[in-house]
Parts: sequence; structure tokens; C-alpha cells
Amino acid sequence: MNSRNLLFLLGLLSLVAFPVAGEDRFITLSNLPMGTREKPLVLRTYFPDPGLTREVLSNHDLGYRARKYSPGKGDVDGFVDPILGIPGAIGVNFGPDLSICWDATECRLLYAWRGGFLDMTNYWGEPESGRRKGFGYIPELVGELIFVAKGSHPLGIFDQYTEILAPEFKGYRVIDGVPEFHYTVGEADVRVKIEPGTEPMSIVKHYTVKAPGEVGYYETGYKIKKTDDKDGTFSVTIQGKPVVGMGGAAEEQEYSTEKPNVEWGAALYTNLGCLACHSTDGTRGHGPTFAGLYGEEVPITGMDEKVIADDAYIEESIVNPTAKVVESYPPGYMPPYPIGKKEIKSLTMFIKTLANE
Amino acid sequence: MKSFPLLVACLLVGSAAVAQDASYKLETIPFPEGVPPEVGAVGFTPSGKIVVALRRSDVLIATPTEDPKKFEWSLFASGLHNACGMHIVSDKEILISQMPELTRLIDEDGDGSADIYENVASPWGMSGNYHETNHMVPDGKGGYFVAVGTASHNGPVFYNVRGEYSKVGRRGRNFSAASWKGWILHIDAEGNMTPWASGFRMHNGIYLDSKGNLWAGDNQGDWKGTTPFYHVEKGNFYGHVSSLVWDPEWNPEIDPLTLPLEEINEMKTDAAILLPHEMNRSASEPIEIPEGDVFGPYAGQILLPDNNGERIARLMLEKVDGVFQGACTQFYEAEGLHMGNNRVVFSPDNTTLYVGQTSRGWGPVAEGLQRLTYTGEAPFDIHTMSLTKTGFRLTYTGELGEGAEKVENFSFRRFRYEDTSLYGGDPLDVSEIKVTDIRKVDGKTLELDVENLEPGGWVYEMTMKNVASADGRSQRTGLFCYTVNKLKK
Ligand code: HEC
Repeated sequence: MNSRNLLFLLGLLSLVAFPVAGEDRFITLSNLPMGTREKPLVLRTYFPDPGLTREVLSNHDLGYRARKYSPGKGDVDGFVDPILGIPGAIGVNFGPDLSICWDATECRLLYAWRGGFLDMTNYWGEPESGRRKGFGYIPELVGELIFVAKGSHPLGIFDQYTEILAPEFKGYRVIDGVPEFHYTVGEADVRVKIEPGTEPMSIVKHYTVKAPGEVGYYETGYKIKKTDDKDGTFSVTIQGKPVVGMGGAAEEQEYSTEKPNVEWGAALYTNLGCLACHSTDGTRGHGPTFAGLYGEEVPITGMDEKVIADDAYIEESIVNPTAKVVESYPPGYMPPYPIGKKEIKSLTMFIKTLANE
Repeated sequence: MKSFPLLVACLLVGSAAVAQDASYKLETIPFPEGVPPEVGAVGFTPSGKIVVALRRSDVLIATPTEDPKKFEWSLFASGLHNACGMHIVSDKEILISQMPELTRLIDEDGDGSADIYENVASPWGMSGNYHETNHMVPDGKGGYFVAVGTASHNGPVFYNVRGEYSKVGRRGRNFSAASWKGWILHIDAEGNMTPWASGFRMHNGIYLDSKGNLWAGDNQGDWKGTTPFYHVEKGNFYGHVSSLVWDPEWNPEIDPLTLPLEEINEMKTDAAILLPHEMNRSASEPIEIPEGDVFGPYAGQILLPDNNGERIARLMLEKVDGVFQGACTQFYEAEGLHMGNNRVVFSPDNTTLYVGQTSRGWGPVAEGLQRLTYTGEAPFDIHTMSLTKTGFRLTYTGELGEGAEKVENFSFRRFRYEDTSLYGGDPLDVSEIKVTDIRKVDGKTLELDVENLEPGGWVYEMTMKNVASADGRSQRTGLFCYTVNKLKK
């Protein structure tokens, strides 16, 4: 239901360039960091584990429950269970179109999602107090999952198949902003660069493999297109799809898409990644907060008069953000969203619910 | 400060605080607006640029300016996971220890930002616990020593662990559930790992001095009665038991937490210096004061910042009967210095000490970048406190005023600490120590004889009053603590 519609919307989005503001983009106190298609954001951190199988995580050891411990008494009654998380992965965000979690232990793409990137609050803490979540401090995915790895490693190197070999991560090289991961498995040397494809929810992997034997590629559960192998160089396009039953922000929300409504607007706010830049609690992010926006007067760069944030203003801001740029924010930082009328209306209704009394 | 006798001692001397003086100028250096100033590591490039690794992923670089507010920061690298160690090879090559690995950053095309992030080595595991940060120093031969921090019981482990998982190592307050937690590992120039020393809790600061000695501090807590400063040698065990599970010779059936205390004490190597809570609560990166008088009169001594206090301690080390031991006092305290003092580096001309701060995620927020510049006006203080056969020798930075050499000017107490599985510890067996004689050896030197001078890790705490310089300046600090491991033969 909901995701089918998004598929279409985001398809349009992926054609739109996501402009870059300023030269250097530092990670800021914002707990919702994001990159763009031109300047993807690479972030090594703990990642949520959406329920990956042991087959996918076969090079990880297993953590166990332990006796509860008290600093004053030592061992006490009760147990502490491990939590779900991926310790050694690397995330890359290409703006709202695609985020990936590539693991340096398994040396493979574990999962991909779209909408936003990560909400780091659990781990980095509230900007002011710095308070991290004691247990369960894993960052949260923003958006919806479109690919989750299944089965054994997709790359098969034929002369090596009799032996199960652990891959060795060598590092990565940033090529035009995009990391190309490098690892070895036995005698094979593999480089893979992952980017958004042209089709909505598609993921392209560019491989350069030096291997003693023939190289095969199998992706369990997803349609792929593979180009011919030219001296070890080939590309694989994975067609992602909304993943049901494995978390993702869109899942718990129930709403109809027949006519515009607030619930749909709230879901779009998350799924289209608006929340990466606009807060609903009054804090300043990459963009102005939505709290108390509706009906207020907004100062616009280059205009003497303030503008009332009514339906028309908000709709224009979504479709053509550079028409009126809010004072003290960079022009062209927000991507234009060429989305349907019903979606725009729903978003506007959602923003209206955040108006001051 | 829990212990009553210590409290009294501090009231007597005012406090251990450094008096406001004209010797060091403190300045605060801001980062670009919105950048979280959580400094995991600092360094200088050969061309004189300062590099700062922030724990939230960015590596910033700037040319220092006289005006502390005029640094123009740009981004050298990004995307690192809690980078807490740094070694700068050249303007184009920087090594970083981050949570999962030792990483070499290379700016291949020379545009000022790294394009290669090479995994140099990652022999340690990751349990998934937020506390497992690493510090690193070059070994001077193209290799590195990496201090692999333990996990905290304030956080969990993951179901899927990187490296190996040990159920026994998971037990306790700070724990070693994943490979090599609580160790110092040596990584040679080819990336091969050799386990070096074990028994650390949170050795958030290791250092190789100009004479080739490897040092590590630790954080008081379980198995660390007070903050220790260790001379690290290969094969030694320094007291935090969880790390033992990763010793290849350890019997995996034995839970180190169940060992009798005597057995653990037998196995362990003592700290060269024990720092009472008044001196330091969480040792971070040590640094040797450079030769010459450019940073004051203490060349060759080691400074030890406190990650949990507004202060930097000064260490006076000497070798007695083949082992290092010595005294500590405060070098700089309060007067605008932030908490969370984590990493230090001297400017290329050695006149300025840059101090990077962070404790976010480990403790209350305390962060930023500050610098201390020597003004050229030497402080009046004890330059060195050293052991004699019958007591201590105090060498001052300047000529002593009249009447300093009075027995009643100096008070001594001694106490010891016990390392147990419970957090931290109070001083034990506290007793007053009598000064039996005092001599002025020369214009700058006093010798004191004390009773009950005994080896074995006793801390001799000295406070003083009515000691001033010949030109009428009072003494900069009021509290010195000497750890007697061995007696002078
Ligand atoms: C990459 C960051 C970014 C994303 C993603 C983003 N915006 Fe924006 N937005 C901005 C910035 C920056 C401004 C202010 C500058 C301007 O007006 O263009 C802005 C302005 C606006 C305004 C005007 C706000 C005001 O205070 O007057 C509205 C309405 C708006 N955005 C809606 C949206 C919606 C709806 C989405 C999601 C579909 C979205 N934005 C996604 C960055 C973003």
C-alpha cells in the first residue's frame, strides 16, 4: 500500500540533483546527518541489525547473556542479554534516494534503505546534555528498508568454493566522493563501489575482481542485472523493493492514500527524509523547524516584507524551494520535491498540525 | 573525595590547586559553529598545521593563528568511528586508531582531504559496547602500540560480535568480552600483531618518551584503587583481571574474577606512580616536556592530563633499584581549564601545549580545544622531588627564601591502595609521618629525613607552608605525592 506509492514518488526524486551547500560539510551537532548524491556522507558507526541471519553474519562470533553486575556488590541476581547491532560496518548516504550499510567484517552489503540516513541520538546523545542511551544506544534507521542481504556472500570465486574463507577488509578509496571498498578472500582481490541506480530503489555495484578462478554473482531474493565480465570488471544492478516485516519507520503507520490526510503527511515526512532537515520540536536543523511554522510570518532572503506561511507558501516551498529562501539558510540546500498533489497536500496538513495555538 | 583525613589535609593547605600565576597563558580555540568539539586526538603536521580528530567522525585541520578565534578549519577526513588516537606521518598521511581498526588516511591527490582509508590492522574485536575506544602511539620503527580499551557494564554487548567472544571475559564491571580488550598490542610496520602487555582497564593514553620508555595511565575503578601511571614492559600484567582471558597461555576454565587477591597481586606489576584522586581521576594522554626552557623549567618531565578534572598533573620519575617510581603534583589546575582533558600535543616550536577535551559518552559533557603558552616567567615550585636513603630531596626552580628549612614547614602522611573488583578505593592505613631532620643543601635544594620509609607501593603525601622564594613568591603548588616501590640502596 503506502510503499507502492512511494516507489513512484521516489523514482522522480532520484532524477533530481541534490545540491551541496558550502564547501566543507562537517558532521554537526545535528543527530540527523545526511549527504547528497554528489557528496555522499560516509559514516562508520554502530548500525542497527534489522534481523540479519547467521548465514549473512557468518564471520561474526556470538554474544551471550551474562550475569547482572552491580558496581557495589559484584554479581547479583538476574541476567543481561545482548542487543541487536552491527559492530564494524560503514554507512554511506546519497541523500534521500539511498543509504547503504556495508560491513567490513563480512565484506558485503548488508542492507539498504531510502528516505533519510541515521538518527544518531541514541548513540551521540542529546546535543546539550550529551546523554547517550545506556542500553540500546544503536542509531536508528530513518526511512524504509529496500534491500536486506540473505544467504551466503553473493560473490562466488569458483576455484575457492570448497573452502569457506573469511574475507579481509583492506580499506576504501574515495572516488568522486563515493567509497570503493577493497577486500581479499583467499587469493582473490575485490574492489566494489556501490551507488544508487537510475531506477527507483535500484543499487548498482561496480566490481573489479582479480581472482584465480571464474567469478559468479548470486543475490538471494532479489532481481539483478549483471554486465559481462571484462577482465574482472563488471557491474551488478540490484532491484530493491520495500522490505516488509523488518523495521523501518514507515511500517507501523496506517493511513489511506485515497485523499490527502495528516497520517499520510506524517509518513511522508519520515519516508521522504524531510525529518533529516526539519525538526518538529522547535530545534534548528539543516532547515527551519516545522514547529509553529504554519500561519506565522517568515523572513525571506532579499524581500523586505515577511511572508505568511499559508498553504500556498508551504506548497511552493516543497515543489520549488528556491522561489523563496528563508533568511539565514543557504539557497538550494533543500532539494525540490516533484511529488503528486495529494502528497503535497498531506504534507501541508501535517505541518499545519504543528502550528502554534 | 570521600576520606576524612584527606579532606582535612586539603583544608590545611588551602587546596591542591595551582595558584593563578603569570607563567602560562590559557586560550580557548573555537570550532566552526555547530561542530561538536569532542576531541579524540590532536597532532601537528610537519608543515605546522594542527589536526584534530573529533569523536563523531570528522578530522579537522587548520593553521594555528595568534588569535585563537581565527583558526580556519577545513575537513581532512570524515566517517571515522570514535577516533581516539592519531599519528601524523606527513601532511598527506595520518594514522588514526578508531573503534574497529588502525586506519591510514592518505591524501593521494594532494587536494587537502584524504581519499584513501587503508586498514593497517584490526586484530582486536568489537563486542558492540560503546566504551571500547583505542589509543595509539608509534613505536619509532614504523609500527604502533595500540591500547585497546575495555567495555563498561553500563552498556551491553551485541548478539553478533566482531572477533572472538569470551563468556568469562564478559563478567565484571569493566569487561573484556571481545578479543584483546584491556591489552596493549604491538603492530609492526608490516601489520603483524604481537600481544604486548595486559591488565588495563581504560588506558586512554599511552606514550613513548624520548628515551624509548613506554608509559600508560589508567582510570581508577575496578582493579585500580587509584589512578596509576605504568611503565609498560612486554609480557607484564598490570592488574585488571578480565584481559587475562585473552592471554594465549591462560586456562580458559579459570574465571580470573575468582582468583584469590594474593595471587593477582603476585602476578601484577606495580604502578610507577599512584595518583590520589586529588591529583587525577582518569589519566589520559601523557606527554614529555620538550628540552630547553621554552615551556618552562620542567624539561624531560611528563605531564598527565585528567579526563575527569580541570587539571594536568606533573610527574617526576626516577629509576630506583632498577624500577621507575616518583612523585606527582599539579601542573595546571582550574583557572579556566576545561574538564575532559583528553589529548595533548606541543606546537612545533614547543612553546605551546594544545589540549583537546572530551568526555561525552563516558561522562558529563566536557569538551573543546585549549592551549597553554609559556610566558617565559618561571614559576616558583619544587622542580623535582626524589628519594634519598633517609627521606626526600626537594629541588626548587629558584632560590629559596629564608627560613624554608624548618621541620614544621613540612607535613607528611603515608597511605596505600588496594586494587579489588569493586570500583576505585580510598587510601588505606593512613598514618602521619614525622619529619626528623631537614637540611639546606644549596640555595635551591632541601633534604628531609622522614621516619617509616618503607617500600612496596606506599604513597608519601607531602604538604608544606611558609616556603617562599628568595624574591618573595609563594610556592605554586601545595601537594606532592611520592610512590615508594623500592628503597634507595
Ligand atoms: C537537505 C535538507 C532538506 C530536506 C531533506 C528538506 N528540506 Fe525543506 N528546507 C530546507 C532548508 C535549508 C530550507 C530553508 C531554505 C529555503 O527556504 O529553501 C527549507 C525550507 C522549507 C520550507 C519553508 C520553511 C519555512 O520556515 O518557511 C518548507 C515548508 C519545507 N522546507 C518543506 C520540506 C518538506 C515537506 C520536505 C520533505 C518532503 C523538505 N522540506 C525536505 C532543507 C531541507
